[in-house]
Amino acid sequence: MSIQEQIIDIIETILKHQGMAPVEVSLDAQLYDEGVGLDSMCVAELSATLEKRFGKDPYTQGVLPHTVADLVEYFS
Amino acid sequence: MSGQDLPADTVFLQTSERGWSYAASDALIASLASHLQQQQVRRIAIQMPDQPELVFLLLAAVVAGVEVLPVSVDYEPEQLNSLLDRSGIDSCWRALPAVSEDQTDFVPAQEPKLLLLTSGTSGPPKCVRYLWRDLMAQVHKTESSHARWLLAYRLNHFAGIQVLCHVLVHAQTLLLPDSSATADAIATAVRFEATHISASPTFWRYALALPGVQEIHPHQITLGSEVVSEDLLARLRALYPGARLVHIYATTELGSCVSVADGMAGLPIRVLQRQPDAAVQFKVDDGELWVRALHGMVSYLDQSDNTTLGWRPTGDLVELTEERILFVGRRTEVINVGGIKVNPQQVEQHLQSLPEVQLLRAYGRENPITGQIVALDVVLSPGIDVALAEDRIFEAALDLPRHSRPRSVNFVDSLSMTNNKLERR
Repeated sequence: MSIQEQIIDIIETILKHQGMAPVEVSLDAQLYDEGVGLDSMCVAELSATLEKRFGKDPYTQGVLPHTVADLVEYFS
Repeated sequence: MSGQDLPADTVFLQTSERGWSYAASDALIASLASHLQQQQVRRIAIQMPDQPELVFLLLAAVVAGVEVLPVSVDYEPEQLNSLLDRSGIDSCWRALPAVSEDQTDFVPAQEPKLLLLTSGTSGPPKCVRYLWRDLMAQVHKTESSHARWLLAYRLNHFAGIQVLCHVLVHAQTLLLPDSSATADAIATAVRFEATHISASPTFWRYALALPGVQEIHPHQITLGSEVVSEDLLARLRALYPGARLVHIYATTELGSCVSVADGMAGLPIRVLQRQPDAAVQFKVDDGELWVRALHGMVSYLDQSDNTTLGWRPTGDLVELTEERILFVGRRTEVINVGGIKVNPQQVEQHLQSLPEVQLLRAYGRENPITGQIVALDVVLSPGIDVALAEDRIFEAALDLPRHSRPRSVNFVDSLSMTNNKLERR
């Protein structure tokens, strides 16, 4: 899987974990409220999962990604 | 040692290799006590496996009036040396000294004492001092026919000493497994037909996956040293319908406080009504259980205060219902998720009953968004697919409040334990 596919898969899995209806996550989707709708607990999970998968995560580094594309760029 | 009149050949200790009668044990203990008094030692540590030699030396020190601290064989040399220094211990014994069978004279101690380390599952262990008679007084006396107790705790922990004291008071038999591995304990229980097993919930969660458990026919199962959940009680009841199921609430500092035999988790609420003349009294203050125990420890070794007569916080957080005091977690283990307090044991209790899960531990993991998140280490039941288990865990977690849901799940082969008790961090 490409980085982009991995990140989209992670986000979709987090939404599934919270019992939310499946959404199509696109590259330019906003991560938070109006976009994919990740709340603070979901972002906490995203941060932990990225750290586990890639060995680092932007939130711990003080970087705030806004879109899926920001995340892909961070890990590319 | 038992102080009872009994047939000379009643077996006190049984290993896979041999049995030791009370008479033979008493003779050896007297020789060792005599030797210890000649050495003029005041306070010693013993670091030996849980085999008869340890029991003999420990009991010899007790009757000879030598303060004795049993120490885990897993202690590293540096750890041990620092402990010995801190505790003013003369020497650490790792084997039985050579003694003469003819020399059995010793002056019995007026007030024998035993030292014990707290379990240290959630912090550095502390050394506590007990009067031997208080340990023996805590034993709930029963009129049972000759029982064979499986040792499923280590003797350097309070729960192991409790089993030893129980066996001594009733002149029963203690079955010593070859090692502290759960499989060895079950094999010993099968081979020597254990009638009584005192063990932790974690011990049983491992043991229930072993085929040997089908071949044991215990009269009594005593659960202790960790919170007991309804799901485990139900599984044990189904496997051993004839057994009496008891769980005890005890701490290293306070000793055995109450034993509950009604098959339900938690303590009956009526224990809060006990009068001041009771050996153990309970109260709940700010969600925490407090205990006043008559036969608890004398003091921590590094403190002179006599706290036995006063109230002591247990660190156990509880919830009261109309009928029960339910344990929800430890004060020191509370996870702070974005300012909301989460008890890891509540998360564990909720998820532990999933058939995909053999054992799990919830703990706080640092997180840049919420400070901490709930993380899980999970040992899967045999033959379960990881992806399926993960789905099932997250699905079941949806019944928990948002902050209590696990946000990180790791699958592991085993969980580290201290004395068959999950290590907390």
